[in-house]
Amino acid sequence: MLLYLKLAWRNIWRNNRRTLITQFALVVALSLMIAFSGLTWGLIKQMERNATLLGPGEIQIHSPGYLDDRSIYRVVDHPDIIISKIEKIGVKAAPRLQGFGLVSQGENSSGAQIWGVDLMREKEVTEFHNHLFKGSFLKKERDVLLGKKIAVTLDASISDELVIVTQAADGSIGNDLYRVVGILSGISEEIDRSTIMMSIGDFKNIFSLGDVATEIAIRRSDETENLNSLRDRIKNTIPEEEVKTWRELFPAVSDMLELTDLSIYILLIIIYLAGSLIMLNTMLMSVFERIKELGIMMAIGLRPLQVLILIFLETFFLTLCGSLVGLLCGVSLSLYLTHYGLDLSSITEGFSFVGILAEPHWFAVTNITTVLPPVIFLFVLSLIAVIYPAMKASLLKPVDALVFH
Amino acid sequence: MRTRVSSSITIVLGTLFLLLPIVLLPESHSAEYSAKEILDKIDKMWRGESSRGTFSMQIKTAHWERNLRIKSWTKGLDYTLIRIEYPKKEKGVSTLKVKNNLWNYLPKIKRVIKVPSSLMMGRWMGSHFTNDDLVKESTLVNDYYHRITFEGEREGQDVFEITLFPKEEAAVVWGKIIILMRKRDLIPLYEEFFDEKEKPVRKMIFSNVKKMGGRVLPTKMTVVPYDKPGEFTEVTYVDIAFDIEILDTFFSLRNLRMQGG
Repeated sequence: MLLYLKLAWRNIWRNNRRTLITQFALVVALSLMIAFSGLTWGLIKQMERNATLLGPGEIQIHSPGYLDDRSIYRVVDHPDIIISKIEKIGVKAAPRLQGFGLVSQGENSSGAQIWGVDLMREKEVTEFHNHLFKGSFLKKERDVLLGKKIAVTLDASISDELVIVTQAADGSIGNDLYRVVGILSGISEEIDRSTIMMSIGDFKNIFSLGDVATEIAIRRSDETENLNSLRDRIKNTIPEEEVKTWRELFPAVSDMLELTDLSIYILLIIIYLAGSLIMLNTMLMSVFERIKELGIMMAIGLRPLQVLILIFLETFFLTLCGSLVGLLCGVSLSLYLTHYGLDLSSITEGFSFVGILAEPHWFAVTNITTVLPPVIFLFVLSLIAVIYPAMKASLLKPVDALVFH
Repeated sequence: MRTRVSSSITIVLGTLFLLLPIVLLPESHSAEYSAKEILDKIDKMWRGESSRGTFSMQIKTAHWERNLRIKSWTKGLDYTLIRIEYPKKEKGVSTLKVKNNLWNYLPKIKRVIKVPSSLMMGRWMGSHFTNDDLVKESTLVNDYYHRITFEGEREGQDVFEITLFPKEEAAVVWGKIIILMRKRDLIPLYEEFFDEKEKPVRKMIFSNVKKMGGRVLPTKMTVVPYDKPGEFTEVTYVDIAFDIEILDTFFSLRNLRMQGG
């Protein structure tokens, strides 16, 4: 066996230049794929975070029917009792109220989605307070936060006075004055364009509501816990309410993110197809120029299977050398992108993807899931590519091979 | 004797109706009038040069029921000021319409806010009337094609049915409007509003035809939305005066803030 290894190793260095060029192609392909995979996973992670911790939370509780008819009359009663029940399961929860209102600043006005949030609990469940473009999070009554685009629509900046007019739950006209304390960074189309946050107490006042919530947002304390089983445990505690994970609430976003994963493999196949054609060419050339040599080896007793093994070993070494260097380059590139990111802010202000906003400063993720598939694929495709030359070599008849020119 | 009807409410309704004295449009001549002429005549006669009125508005929804008393002033087609007098919580809440602009004044916080065009289909003060009913009122004749689609007897009365379709270039919200009116005095009986897919959205029913402010008109109108069974908004005129002295400056933001009138 050692002999085969030695033979294979020497054979690939018969033609240095060809081997190096082939390996260079593998290095480029692998480095690119590792970096691309890291960036894609980075995007998926960021999207998942934006879709949960910058929005609905990971699980939500609603009154049955609220999701079909989002009205302030379909509410969860006494949310505090429910929260204290489910906190015993070991999750963080925050009550919310949502309704529609007309918001005006100076001469400008716009329709808006109004959120009433619990000033303390909301910070435990979501990351809005770490995602401010300007100003600070809600601190007291009559403070409001604005989405980035609606702030532009209203021409509102920090400490401006806002008027909000609503149709209260009792049919009366709710109206009051508020002060802008913060503007959120880009999060999602919906939040940016139309959302205003205030304290849940202010919301109850302007909408004339009692001790109710339209939804309760939940975040796992333990991030490794399975969302579906957690949902089932919450559901068992409060069987009368509707409990759903964010994947159930936003199936389009969830499906899209899962499909994004697939895009890695699509690009992988395209780039590696080119790589494996180079590999095929190299090995085919190498077999053809050694037909006489192989013929001699077979004549002195090498069996076809042994020739096959030899050719595959050569390919393996070729790929191994290329992939070691490629791994080094790719992981370095990916780590660089993980730490410093790809700053696209000069080109775009961020792009929207199934309604979830991706930030212009794009960070990669580097871990075993991002690095391993590109490497494994490279080996698999190289070995597949070399089946043809290897068969060709092993099926040689020594008699013909010896007289081949 | 002064008859009473708030023409402003007719504005709110965004409708065109009104009474031509029977002499103006005898039955024997009615066939000579095109739908457009009828609407045009109604449109012009209906508001007078100006008006001042009081009406009550009863709103019933699945979750609450309220009664409002409202005062209104109009001048020409361009100016309208509406003020809520009762209940106490909303006293002084006012809406000003000048041409195509709409503002609300909120006395509790002493602020005027402009209603954006994106909210034109929003409900006016929680009723089943839309903001657009106030603003686009004058464009019915200009923005729709009119055609008499029925002439004859229906429900025991000799009636006209006029169907309005939006003109291609018009930025209107309804896909179709059908108006049924009595032939003998051109008093409307009902209006039915359809969306772009010609699905009926709501019906406005006119009743209690009386003499008010010197004119004969329906003094009650009820809006019934088709998608919310059991809900309605009913407006009943209490009092109206036509062709009163009123300055354009009455319909100003300044006056809106000062609660003039």
